Amino acid sequence: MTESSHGHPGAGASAADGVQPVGATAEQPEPRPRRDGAAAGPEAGGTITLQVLRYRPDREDAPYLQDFEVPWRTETSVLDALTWVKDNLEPSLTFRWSCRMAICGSCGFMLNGEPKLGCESFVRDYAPGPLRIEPLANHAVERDLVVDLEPFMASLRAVQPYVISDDRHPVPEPGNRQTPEQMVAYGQYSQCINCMLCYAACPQVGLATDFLGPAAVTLAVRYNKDSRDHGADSRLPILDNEGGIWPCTFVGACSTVCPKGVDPAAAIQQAKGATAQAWAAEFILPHRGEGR
Amino acid sequence: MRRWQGRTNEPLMWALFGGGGMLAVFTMPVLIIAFGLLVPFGGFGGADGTYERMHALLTHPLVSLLVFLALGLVLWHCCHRTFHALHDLKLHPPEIVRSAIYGIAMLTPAIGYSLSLAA
Ligand code: SF4
Ligand code: FES
Repeated sequence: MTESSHGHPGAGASAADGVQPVGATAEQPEPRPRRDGAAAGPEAGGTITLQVLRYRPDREDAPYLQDFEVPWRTETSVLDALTWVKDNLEPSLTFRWSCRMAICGSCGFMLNGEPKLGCESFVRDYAPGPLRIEPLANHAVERDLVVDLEPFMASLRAVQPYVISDDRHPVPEPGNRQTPEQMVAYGQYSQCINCMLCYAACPQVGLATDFLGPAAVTLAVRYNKDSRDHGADSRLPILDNEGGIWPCTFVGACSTVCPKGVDPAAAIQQAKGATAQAWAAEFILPHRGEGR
Repeated sequence: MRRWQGRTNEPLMWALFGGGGMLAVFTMPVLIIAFGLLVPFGGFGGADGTYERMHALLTHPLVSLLVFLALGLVLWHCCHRTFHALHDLKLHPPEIVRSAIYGIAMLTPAIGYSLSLAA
């Protein structure tokens, strides 16, 4: 993680040296139309208290909340605010980020208890505060806001998230083509950015530790529905498993919090339906699928 | 049927659960409107003799079988949900509880059907 001096426009104006936060200084830029389409009102701004969860296992026995007073203005994202804290108040504060545009999926935090992307959540929506920032729920904390990704990565690997070709019927030249309609069949599910907000929202992820979880099942369905893929049969033992799709009870929280509109809850329901069909087919034709 | 570690009979349990839910969603409103509103308010030309006619229809062995299959499916839905709610409440009851819950879903329609045959 690099130290950055860009980021928040108020960088350098710390509350400690008595300088007003930038939102209140004279050289205020002209109000610009807001990206979210809201009427361009006067620029808002002020300071807000961030209550950030700190945990450094080498130094502390238990996590605790640390308060930071942070200046903000209309366009300050929560990630900007955290970056400002790191640049001006507490260089040891640790959190993940990269793209700052809701694409890389690394900046998921619990904001006042709700899983959100820090880079697409604005401080103005939490004013006057305080705003509590914690690591994603249902995950082991490595340090401050950084969680252990390994269980999630293992789930992703388990579902064989790639196109599996049919060796017996190789694709004829000139390539593995697909029509726009065939793409629509899985398009929505391919929008996932692996931000793990759905894992933080899902009560079953917290209850059943071996549950594959929303994004991994969605990825399996995404490839099963891909016209170029022939891997559904080899993904079946991973999905139709105690720890596969069955811990899901269709709570639907995953789809509510997903920042990309992926709808993992729908994908899991489709996986359940397909699995029940496969089960019935094997019940009627007991030797179906054997020898593969 | 292929076997692998961790494979359950949950696809069957879930399919029956889903079927029961669908059935309830589609038939309950119709039943409520028909027997809760239309029949009592004379929608089918007076409620007189409704009981006798329904009794005659429902005690026909074939009709009765269909009705108990349908009700059994809806009851299965409730029982399956109840069992999973135990897990949501962080209870991990012994296997006998699971058998009892699904047993209720299977035995109730069976007993009901034999009573209706005897009626
Ligand atoms: S499904 Fe949505 S919430 Fe879950 S990891 Fe993918 S983008 Fe994030
Ligand atoms: S920093 Fe990339 S998603 Fe927020």
